[in-house]
Amino acid sequence: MLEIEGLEMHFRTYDGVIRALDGVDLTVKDGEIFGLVGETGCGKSVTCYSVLKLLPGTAEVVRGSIRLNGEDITDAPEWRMREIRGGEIGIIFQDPLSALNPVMTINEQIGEILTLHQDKELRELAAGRNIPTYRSKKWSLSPGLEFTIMAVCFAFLALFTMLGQFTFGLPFLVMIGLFFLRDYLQRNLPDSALDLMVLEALSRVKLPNPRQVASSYPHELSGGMQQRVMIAMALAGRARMLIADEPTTALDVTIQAQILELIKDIQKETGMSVLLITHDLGVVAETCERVAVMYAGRIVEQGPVDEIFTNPRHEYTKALLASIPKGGEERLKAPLTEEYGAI
Amino acid sequence: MRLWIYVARRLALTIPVLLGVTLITFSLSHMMGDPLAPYITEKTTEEQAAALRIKHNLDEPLPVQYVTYLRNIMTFEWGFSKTINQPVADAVREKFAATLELSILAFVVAVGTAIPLGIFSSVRHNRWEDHGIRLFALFGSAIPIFWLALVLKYVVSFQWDLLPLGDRYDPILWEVREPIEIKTNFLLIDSLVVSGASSPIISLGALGSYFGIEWSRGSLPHFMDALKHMILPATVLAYGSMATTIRLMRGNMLDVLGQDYIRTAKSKGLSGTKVTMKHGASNAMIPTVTLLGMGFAGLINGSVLTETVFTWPGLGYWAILAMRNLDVSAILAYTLFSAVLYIFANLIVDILYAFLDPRVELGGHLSVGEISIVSLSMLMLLVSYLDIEAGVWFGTGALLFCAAFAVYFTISWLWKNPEDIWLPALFAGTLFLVWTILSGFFMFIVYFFLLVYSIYIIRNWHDIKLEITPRLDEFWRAAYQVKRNPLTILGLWIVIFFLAVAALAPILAPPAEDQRDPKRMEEHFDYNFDLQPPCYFSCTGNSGEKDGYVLGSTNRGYDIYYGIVWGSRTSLDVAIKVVVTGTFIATVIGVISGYYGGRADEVIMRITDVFIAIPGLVLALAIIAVTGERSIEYLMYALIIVWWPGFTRIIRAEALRIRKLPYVEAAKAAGASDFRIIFKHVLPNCMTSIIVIATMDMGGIVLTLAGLGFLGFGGAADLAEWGKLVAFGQEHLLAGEWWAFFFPGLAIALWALGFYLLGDGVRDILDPRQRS
Repeated sequence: MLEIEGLEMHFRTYDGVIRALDGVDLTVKDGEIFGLVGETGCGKSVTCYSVLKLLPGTAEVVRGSIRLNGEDITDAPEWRMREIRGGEIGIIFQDPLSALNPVMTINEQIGEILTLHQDKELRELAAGRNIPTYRSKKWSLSPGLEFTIMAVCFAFLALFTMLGQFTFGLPFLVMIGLFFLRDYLQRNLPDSALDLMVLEALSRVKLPNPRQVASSYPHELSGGMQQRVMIAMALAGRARMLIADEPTTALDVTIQAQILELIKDIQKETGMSVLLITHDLGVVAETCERVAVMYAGRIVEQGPVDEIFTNPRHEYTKALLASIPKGGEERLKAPLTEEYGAI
Repeated sequence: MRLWIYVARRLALTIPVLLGVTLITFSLSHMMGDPLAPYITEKTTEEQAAALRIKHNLDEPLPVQYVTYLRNIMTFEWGFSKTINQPVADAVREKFAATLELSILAFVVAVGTAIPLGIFSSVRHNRWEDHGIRLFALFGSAIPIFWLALVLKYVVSFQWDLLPLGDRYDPILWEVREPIEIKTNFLLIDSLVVSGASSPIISLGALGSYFGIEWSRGSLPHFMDALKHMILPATVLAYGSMATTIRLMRGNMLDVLGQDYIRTAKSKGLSGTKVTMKHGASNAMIPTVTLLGMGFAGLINGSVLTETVFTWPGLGYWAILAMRNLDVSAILAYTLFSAVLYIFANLIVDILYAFLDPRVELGGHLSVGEISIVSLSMLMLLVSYLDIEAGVWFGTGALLFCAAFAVYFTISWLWKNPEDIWLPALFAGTLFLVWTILSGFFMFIVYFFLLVYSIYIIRNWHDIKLEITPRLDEFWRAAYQVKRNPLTILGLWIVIFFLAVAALAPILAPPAEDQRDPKRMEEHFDYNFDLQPPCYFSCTGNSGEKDGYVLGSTNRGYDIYYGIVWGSRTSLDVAIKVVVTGTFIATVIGVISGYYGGRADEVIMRITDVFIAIPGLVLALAIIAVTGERSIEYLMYALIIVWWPGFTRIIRAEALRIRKLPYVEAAKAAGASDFRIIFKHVLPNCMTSIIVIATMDMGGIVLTLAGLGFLGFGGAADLAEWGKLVAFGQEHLLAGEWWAFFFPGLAIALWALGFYLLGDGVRDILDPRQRS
């Protein structure tokens, strides 16, 4: 599915060149959950952002290649990348609250990705059921703009009335009336195809009461629900691959388990591949089939989870495994390694 | 539904503010002498005057007079304006349209161009387009509005003869050749809707006359004439508010574009433009919109100056005429009117903000204090409308109740927390310091402390050296950052240049031997050598009448070079005193009100609301006009009164933010006293914004000072002050003597530019997040 070979990525800053990735080799096969572990700042997130070209302009690929289903996308043009983002690879981020736009409803935000990547399906659905494709409500602007127009109309109406020329205020009065008339005429409308597909996307991530979630703003949802919405958004474009960048870091423990369970279930249902980035080895042991260990911009070890856990070869992997908190006797025996773990 | 409750609450909260504004205008009118002046005209006889005096209760004690004044305002009895021989209420109605037409056009132009420019600038971050737009915006804030107006008027109208010199319309066309009916006094609208004009804009023409219908609308020459007259004033007015909006929009855009949800939007596969516009701009618009209300106030301020230069017959021009002639009723009505306008502009913007940002908590907290203040002031209005006697009793009672409550609250609080006695002591200390600064005693204290401090440093040099080393590292780091930013260097050089000019003034421009005060130019120069053109470098020897003038001379023979050099001392003097005094007041009040919150905070914020509601220049003008004192000290008091409320609010917001940060909580948990937290945690963290705002306002205050000087309110008539020099030049603009207004204005613009650049640079250096 995704093959990264010898990827080197540098950041050019005022203080000189930072070598963020120093030869990353990685292969995610079709339909597997692949874990990428490593400590903070070792380049896990940079790797997955470089796949989608989401890095700032100071970043540049120096060497290596990225292949998606056999197609080399290292130097893919922007239009092709836009098809890939959301359409072929979906991504979810660490902190769902800051990753969701605070002033758009969930409906709008998921609707956006559907209109981009599921346009044909939307039209078919609309034609099949004889309902509007995108919006049921016609003649509407954004709420802020509508309010501004209303306020200006009211102001002029008041002004001309004050100046003793009510006739000049009449057109503004008519305009205000038209706004209310429109709202009255369109008070009960059927769902559009877009609404239906958003609801479907939300129920796929097992959100209770999707209709209410769809009409709310991100800050009105709990952390777990926000992350579910993010997953729904990443899956809405029918992507064949999901990149999860530390999806559980910002959540508390019980919610973490639920979210991981959800990712596993969805992977089973759809057979998509998942690249799970984490620094929690427990998460890897529970969810992943294969795992890569990253250290200082390089993949130091790669293989099936059981093998790495029982028989680590690289010193850093050993140190990493030793750092898992243990209970009882074993905790006292745990070796102290100082060679790795400090950057 | 919640939105309507919010709107109602905001509307209710304007009432106490309006009441406060009337209190200010009332006390201003009493400082002016005879309170009867607004109500009498030239034709009023003795008996009529006596009757009026009884009618308006002017022999009664002050509370009765105030309630009568309040009632007169509510019943639109605003008095009579001497300057235009008209009742004030009618004049306001007539002139308001003229000002509003200009302001609306300027506002639409400013916002319509500034927002796209701000977005474009942020998208092209740190490229040459960005630098260009930033400089353009910076110039807009730094250039004095009246100077820009004069330059444009001189070049476009006088030299090129493209546009009219001033006024709203061509009287020959509108009054003699083809008079049309003026209904709304919005000339653009009137000329569009008039029917039966000789050259209409829309007409059925021959087709109509074939069917026997005469239908035509609008008059093209009238419309074009009105538009032509509006272009220059609207451009000048728009530029200033455009500049602030661009800077704001750019900053917000850069902030938003760094957010995580922009990355999410990109990961959906949206195109770059759509990410910028839909996710970036719509979020960045929200904080920008909230400051458009302030922008509107800026327009009202600016319209005073612009209307004066272009003799635009609007409210601002009328207000200036009134102030020059001590026309009390007009001044007060104008002050009150612009306050009302400002309050309602802000009200609309606040509601718009609630609409745009779903995160805003519409309910807020309805505190008991808020409810009681609002209901008391509503009752006050109602009772005074019904009966003056009852209003007096009610008002006195309410005030006494509030005062008693405040005293009780303070005493009981101090009784419970005796260790907080430092708070009143701090207030008293601040007041004392302010008094010392204003009375000139301050410099003595400064010298005394400098002496003590240097002795201390010399005696303990060894310890101090150890302590100072890390600070020096910080300093060099800062210096390195300054080096990387050429604009900051430029600002620094400009500021150093002006400081040097001010310091070396006696050498650069030696005063005459018999001159008592070098800043007064009357004794130095001779009327015979007026309006000499500049001779630049071909002058022989020093500047003076015998050798020619380096930068020319004004119509009273004042040397412009001499004026600019000594004017820098005036500017420095006023700016430093106002900034230092204002900063002390604002920091103490802001930090304490933000840190403690609660009732005291509520009261302080309502007071600042009242002061902010009256546009700065207008309030300063009103104070100066009303006190009748034209000396520079009174100007300084006026500027301090105008300046502290805005600054206090910024500091308060900062303290409020810091108060909630975890390290303050941690300090509290560790058992630190309030005193310690305020001085160790809150104040040092406010310091960045205090220094930045103070630096920038060194420029802003000189701009206001020059504006006041230009309008004729800047100290003595022959004082070396830049705004005054520009005013001298304005009188002779139509004789082609451009140097008299050009050079002093350039000095003002450079000064403001220097401090703005420096302030920007200081912000970058002091912000610890910028270090890497």
